[in-house]
Amino acid sequence: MYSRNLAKRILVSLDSKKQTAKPSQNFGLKEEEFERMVLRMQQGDEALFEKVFLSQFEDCIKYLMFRYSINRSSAYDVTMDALLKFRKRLIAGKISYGNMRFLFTRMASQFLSDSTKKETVLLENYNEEPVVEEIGDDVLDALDKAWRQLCGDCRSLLDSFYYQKITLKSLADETGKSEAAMRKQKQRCLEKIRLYFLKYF
Amino acid sequence: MNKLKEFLEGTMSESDKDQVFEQLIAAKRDRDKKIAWQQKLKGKYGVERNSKYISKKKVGRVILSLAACFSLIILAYYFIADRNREKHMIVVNEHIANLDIMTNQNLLRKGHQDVEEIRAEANLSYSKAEYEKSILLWETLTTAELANGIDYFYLALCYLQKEQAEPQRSIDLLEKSKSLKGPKEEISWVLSLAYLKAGQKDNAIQELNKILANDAYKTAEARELLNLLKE
Repeated sequence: MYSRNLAKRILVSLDSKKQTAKPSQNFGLKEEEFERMVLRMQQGDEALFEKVFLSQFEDCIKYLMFRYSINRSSAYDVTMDALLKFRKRLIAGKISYGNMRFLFTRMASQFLSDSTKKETVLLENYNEEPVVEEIGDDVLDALDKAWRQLCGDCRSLLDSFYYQKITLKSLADETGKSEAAMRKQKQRCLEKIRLYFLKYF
Repeated sequence: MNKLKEFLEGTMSESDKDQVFEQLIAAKRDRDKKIAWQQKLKGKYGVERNSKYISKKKVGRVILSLAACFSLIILAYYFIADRNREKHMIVVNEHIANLDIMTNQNLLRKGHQDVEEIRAEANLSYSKAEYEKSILLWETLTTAELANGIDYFYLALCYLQKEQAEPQRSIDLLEKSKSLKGPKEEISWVLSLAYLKAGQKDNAIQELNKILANDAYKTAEARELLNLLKE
């Protein structure tokens, strides 16, 4: 009986305790390093994130290959998809220090499961984002061309706002402009890219 | 993409246009990011999407076709054994990384004040993954013969999880813990992992079978490991 209770307590501590989280469960990162990494990512510096996660990429591929008996290219693709999603969620502050290794492999496993099903299944507990329609390569190729036509300022602004999710207010503070001026500039940049896009698509 | 069609047909509102382009830009940047990561993975870490062993396999096939049947069987045996070892060891290492102890103060045993302080500190060091420090503290208790079965169990976890794992030491400590009425079911599970880490497959199988027979702690994981070991 004693042993059963102990087992339950161990399981509870495994499931929930942030304070017992260890670097080995978090890609070797200590909590303060994790916080620093997220902060840097939110400021657009992803060097530490890439250093930590890309060095673990092969391990994740191997894990998925052996765990689910899939081929290397499938394991590579789902690891890549999971990494993109993980990156977004880190930037959005939706992942806290705990057992990131477990969470990451769960995400990759979920991508694998999704790729084998026709309908998209939302990742339980981890995915609150809406399902986005598949965007074809031809569309993205046209957008690539349009993007290259944009001036550097527009590229930087659209990237910061739409991709790095930096608010217009923060961008305005950085550049010493007003928020309204930034909004106008963003609108002008959007109009330009739409025009260029129509030219190439 | 229906929204895109609307945009191209010029029937879309301004706010919808923004939304579509937000999605497009995000998708484009995701693709850019993937390409950049692919290049880094290849250049810096030697990780590629397609197997890097293809050419080796081709060469291998030629060599094997020329080899004697006996050599072929030996080679195949070692190849399969190696792959299976890697396969179950990935799972074993994953379980070892996820082992944990309790820092819940209610779980600390009542006893002498100093002993309790050492236990609390050892627990704290463990939770910070400072295994060497935690070992020193637990060993203060074992040397002074103040340690009980649970102390030995925790000490065994440290030896198994520290950077240069010492699975044999962990096995000895788990046996000691068992003799001192440590947590039986948990000992059995960690002992299985330690045996596998130490390459003692037969002992591990015996221990895993015990878990299954008793429907004990980690039965599902034990069953999975046994299946991997059979492959």
